[in-house]
Amino acid sequence: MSYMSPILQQAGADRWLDVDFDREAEAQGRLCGCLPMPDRMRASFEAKLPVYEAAFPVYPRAQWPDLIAERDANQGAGWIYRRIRRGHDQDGEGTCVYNMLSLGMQIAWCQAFGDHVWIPFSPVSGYRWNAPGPRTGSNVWDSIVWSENHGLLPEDTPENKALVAAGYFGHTHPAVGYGSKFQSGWEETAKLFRASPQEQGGWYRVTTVEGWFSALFDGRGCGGGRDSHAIWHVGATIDGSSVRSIYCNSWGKWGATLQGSDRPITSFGFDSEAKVRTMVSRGAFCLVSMRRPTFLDRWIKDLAA
Amino acid sequence: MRRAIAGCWLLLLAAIAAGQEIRLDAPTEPIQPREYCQILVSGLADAELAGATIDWSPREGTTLMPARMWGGQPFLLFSARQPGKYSITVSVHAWRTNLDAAIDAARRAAIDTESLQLLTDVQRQLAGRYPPKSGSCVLEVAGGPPPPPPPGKLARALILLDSASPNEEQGLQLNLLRNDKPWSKLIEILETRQQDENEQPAALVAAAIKYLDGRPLPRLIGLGSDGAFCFDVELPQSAEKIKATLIERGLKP
Repeated sequence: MSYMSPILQQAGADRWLDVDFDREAEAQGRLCGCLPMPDRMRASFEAKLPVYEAAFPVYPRAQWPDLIAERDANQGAGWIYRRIRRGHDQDGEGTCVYNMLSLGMQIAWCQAFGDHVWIPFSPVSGYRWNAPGPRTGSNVWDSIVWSENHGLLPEDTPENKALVAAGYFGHTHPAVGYGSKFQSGWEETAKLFRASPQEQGGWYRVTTVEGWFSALFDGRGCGGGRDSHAIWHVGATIDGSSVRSIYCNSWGKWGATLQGSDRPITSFGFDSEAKVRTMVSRGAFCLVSMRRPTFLDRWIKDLAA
Repeated sequence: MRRAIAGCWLLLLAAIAAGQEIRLDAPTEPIQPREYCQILVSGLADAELAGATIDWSPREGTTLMPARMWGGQPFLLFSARQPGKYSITVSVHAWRTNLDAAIDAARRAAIDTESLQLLTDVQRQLAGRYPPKSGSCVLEVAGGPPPPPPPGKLARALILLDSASPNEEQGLQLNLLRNDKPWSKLIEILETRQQDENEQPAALVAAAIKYLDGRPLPRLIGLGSDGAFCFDVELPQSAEKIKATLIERGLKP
């Protein structure tokens, strides 16, 4: 008997398969915000990012059902969506690209350093500098370059504010609010939270559906845009014969429910291979690692004391 | 004549017996491979040091250095790469044993009496002026891996991955490890190319690479509460084996 992931056995799971984001956004009163990459930018994307499939294992399709079943066990303990602690919410702004980026960075951060040093990042702290207005949207290549060179600020959650008070870093910023003012010296704090440089194994370009799913199998998140919306993919699932890529949307409480880091989170949807192929053809990518800022040593030591 | 020869032998034996005056104080417990130990040398006059000789066996993979402390006390610094027992002898006027052996051989060869007398006269004269002395010790270099640190010494662990050579099984196992919350707090999973905010190699990664001294990745490395590296092993192949290895070494959440 062929394997079917538990998540797809939930009532109504099909509702979240291959969602038409244009229509869904209209129906839900939400915004998307992923602009296509201009040709010149696309050329830069292809020239500068190393190819994922050339650097990491690509698994044969015949192995996929078993790989998915192994990772589904124990409430999806083998998938990186278990690094997510809460859903994201664009709240009427066109920040999907930077919500995708902040989620990808948070997951890569926790994958390396642990969930106990979880830091949620402010999407709008990057969007603000890469989009002309709160509802205009932005493109993914700019977000990748921004994540390498400038970084994102930690979101102004009580936990992050406590870390500022303890002196680990200097600033936080709201998750939404295009017009929110940036505190003096914010750039130095954002520099702490950057993706690893391309030449040091940060971002990779995913060029095939097989590479996309293989990255997910190996605990790496993938990003891409379709239907004017950018979403971070965090796992895979199978309905007996067809594989689907699991993404975490940024529309607040929306979609299917999966077990997150410490609680169930309602924020997920599923994309078929056809949708993944669309994203790959338009420029898909994978984040492998974040920088390890020097304050982390002190923080980890203090936590252990 | 026979009485004279017997007398010579007695003299020689007495000289040898009287010569066991150098004392070597080596550690009584086994030392570790590559560990340096100090062997104190006593019973040597300053004037005798220059002519003292050191002989040790086996010699392969060993380092031995004679030295003196601030107060003048001579000692030997010794280390060996391989486990085993090593004997060390310090002698003064060791050349005398060659002369004694030569006379013994000449006697057995029944050389003419006049020549033999000539040799034994020299031997007798030198016996008083250059008395041979020696001292020996045997020390043991322990075999097997170094003993695990005492329980509780380990504070956390680092898994260092080779960015350029990913292992197909790591992704799943490291995710499973991350989902074990108590353990997740104790383990960092870093890559060799990871940098800090100043474009420098992350300090922990750089220190780990230096500590590993070329040992192959991926590797599980233990850190003490002072941040010092305590041990490293090839990364076990499953999350459960990683935890078991750390428990064995004294780390528990």
